[in-house]
Amino acid sequence: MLPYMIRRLLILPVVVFLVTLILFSLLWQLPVELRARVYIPTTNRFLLPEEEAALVERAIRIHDLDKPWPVQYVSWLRLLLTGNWGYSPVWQQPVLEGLLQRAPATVELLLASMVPCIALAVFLGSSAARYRRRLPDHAIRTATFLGWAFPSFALGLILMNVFYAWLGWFPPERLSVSAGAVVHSAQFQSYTGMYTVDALLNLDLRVFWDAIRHLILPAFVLGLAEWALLTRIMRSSMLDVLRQDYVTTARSKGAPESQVIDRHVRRNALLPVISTGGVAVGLLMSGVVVVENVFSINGIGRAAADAMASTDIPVAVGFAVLTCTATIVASLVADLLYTLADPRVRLY
Amino acid sequence: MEGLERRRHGDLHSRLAHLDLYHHSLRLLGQKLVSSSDADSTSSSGTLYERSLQLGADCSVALRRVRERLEPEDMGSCESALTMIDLAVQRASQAKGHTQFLINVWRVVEAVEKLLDTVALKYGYTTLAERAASGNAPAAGTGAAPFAPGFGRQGQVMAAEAETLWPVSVPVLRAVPRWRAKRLLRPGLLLGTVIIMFFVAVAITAPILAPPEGDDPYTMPRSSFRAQPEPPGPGHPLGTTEQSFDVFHGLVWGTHVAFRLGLSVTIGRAIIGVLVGLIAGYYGGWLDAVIMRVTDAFLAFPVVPATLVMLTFFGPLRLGRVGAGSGVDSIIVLSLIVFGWMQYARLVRGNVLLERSKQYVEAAITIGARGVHIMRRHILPNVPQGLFVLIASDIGAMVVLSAVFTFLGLSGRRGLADWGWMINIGRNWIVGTPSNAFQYWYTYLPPIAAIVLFSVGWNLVGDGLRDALDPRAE
Repeated sequence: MLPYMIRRLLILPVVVFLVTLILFSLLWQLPVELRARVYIPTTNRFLLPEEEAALVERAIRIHDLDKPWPVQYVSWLRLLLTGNWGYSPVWQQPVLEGLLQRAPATVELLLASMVPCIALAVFLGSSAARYRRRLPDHAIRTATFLGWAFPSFALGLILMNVFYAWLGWFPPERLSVSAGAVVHSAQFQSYTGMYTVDALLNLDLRVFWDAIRHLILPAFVLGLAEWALLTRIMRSSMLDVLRQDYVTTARSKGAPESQVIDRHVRRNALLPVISTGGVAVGLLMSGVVVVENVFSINGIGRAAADAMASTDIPVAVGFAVLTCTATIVASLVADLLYTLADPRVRLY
Repeated sequence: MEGLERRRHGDLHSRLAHLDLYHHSLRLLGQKLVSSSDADSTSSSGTLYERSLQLGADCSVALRRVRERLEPEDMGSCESALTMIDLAVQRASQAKGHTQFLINVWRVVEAVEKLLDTVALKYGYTTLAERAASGNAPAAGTGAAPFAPGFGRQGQVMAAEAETLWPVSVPVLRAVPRWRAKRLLRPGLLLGTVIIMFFVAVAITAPILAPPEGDDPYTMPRSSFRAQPEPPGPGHPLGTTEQSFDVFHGLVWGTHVAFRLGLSVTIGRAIIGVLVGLIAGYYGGWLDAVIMRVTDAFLAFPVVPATLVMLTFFGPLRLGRVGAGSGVDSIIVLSLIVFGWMQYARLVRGNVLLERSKQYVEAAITIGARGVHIMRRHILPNVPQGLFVLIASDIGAMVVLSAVFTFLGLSGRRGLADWGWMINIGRNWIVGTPSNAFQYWYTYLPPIAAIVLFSVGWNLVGDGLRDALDPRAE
């Protein structure tokens, strides 16, 4: 197992290098003044043109923007690693700070959609395989088809129309006004920035319920496509495993069906789900932008898209770096989990 | 000496196989002729006659070639069979009437059969009839179907030597896989096709359905500057959006935008993916490793953030000119291609690797076939495996993705006849009024319905194709 893990970890720097190179080559297409402006802290309207030009000149000099591209690439990478991601003219703050400040909302949304999504995918996928070509199977397959084919922003808008405008059950944004007042009051201690968790830690069930109410629809819309994908994969891999000889052996030994499924089938069927789950994080990162926009959640995705609509280059780069990091880490975690789960890989 | 002997035997075997093959085909054809009655001597049975005459002549030629390799004591029976065949073929060609023809066909078949019976055992050759009887039970009289099992090796011998047999024609061995056509008749696939056809029809008849006012059909006509949407009424079959853009016009011309975008993106992706996958899979080694790492790197870049970056970087360069001609944003198309070819490349590479590892390709390499030849004859035909499934399911997804960017306000222009842009302005009215949540349904529901239907249609086609082409993948 260790050699495999080491080999997998050795690939990591290569992929990171290539990803940053892709991003840098896109950035490289921009005129040097625009790239220098990334590092100018304030957009002071009262600055004279020549003063601004001097600032740009200074940024070019300091950050090696007049050197050949390999030097620029290395210095850009160094700036990224040291946390200097530039200043956003739209957010009026350093990009990294702005991203981190908005991260809790996004992380909360991701967790709220991913955890039930994976659990349901494993459960429903395996029961679809168990009741193959019977009613549960048909129902689940239809649901996965629709979940996959239905565009998430269209679904989000329709759900908003029905459940917010018509029924008034699940409002958009993160909190209602009254709960927001509680959260921002002095008594409310903020631990994580995720309102559901904070509300529980503050023992405020009213805020907790309010936060949940605002989270249900976006989490559902965000997780639906991934759920559909993972359920399909779980189902087909269950069917594959059920055909294996060792399953027949287990049954012929007289093991009860539930035990056969739990011990022999589900564990092995999980392998493709794990590897796809790593890739599907990219899907989630794309979905976050859309869902946060539709439900007016002030997280990274919406703020970044808003800034980018006003051509905020530092935010665009920062957002890209963040999402790439997330997908790379996710696929790494998935591969490592795979080695833990798969006895064949574990052996060598 | 022994080696020479074996080679002579091998040669005889291949010649016997030819003879056996022709005679077997002729017998099947004869059975078909028997079952077709005397009366219907239509054009189809006319070709059957011609074909059986040809096969009879082929039998004669093949038998002559067998004779060259026979040992002297078998020559006699061979000679008599040959005269019998030649006579029968000649009579059949002059035969008047169905029955007379048939009798002569059977004479040929019987003569060859008798010879094979005496010769086959002696030289250790198993005839097709024996093989069919011992192996899979043959379904009598069903065209070329009984050939298919267990005939692979002989069939290849045929193909390799086909040129030396000139002018003898090679019987068509490839049974038409009729089941495939039947498999395509699936409710899901049919429904998907109907939906797509509907969109195609709308796109074609767009100039009639919604005649453009002015020369740019991709801008929705506006009748006033009223801020509020107007419900359906005369002149506006589906009402207007805010600022009085005609919903129906946008819906109809949006199909053009959708098809152009979906097709250009998927075709671009497929071209890059096929090239990259072919190179990586065929050459292998370090080139494959490098290409796959690059693919991994692109996979680490989710397509929405990547396109957002592209639009932010290069969007302002063409501000106000979005899709001037066609309503399609070229930056979005480019970005969706550049950051989306990886799945195609992986698929094609997998297909190539799978095919490369097969024995017949190895055999072709051993006998010294050139790389180009192997690539063209053996590998390329297997590349599209699964490619069309991917393309079909991607077309809908691409239209949805591009609508996301217009929806987010990073692309599109005022009044663009694009479903994404229509949803973008329609969302302002999604809350309706306190008394009626669905008051302004006509501003957001039609474009949402269109894009959902488009996506569902292509997904149905993609899923249906996958199930039809690969029955194991369920």
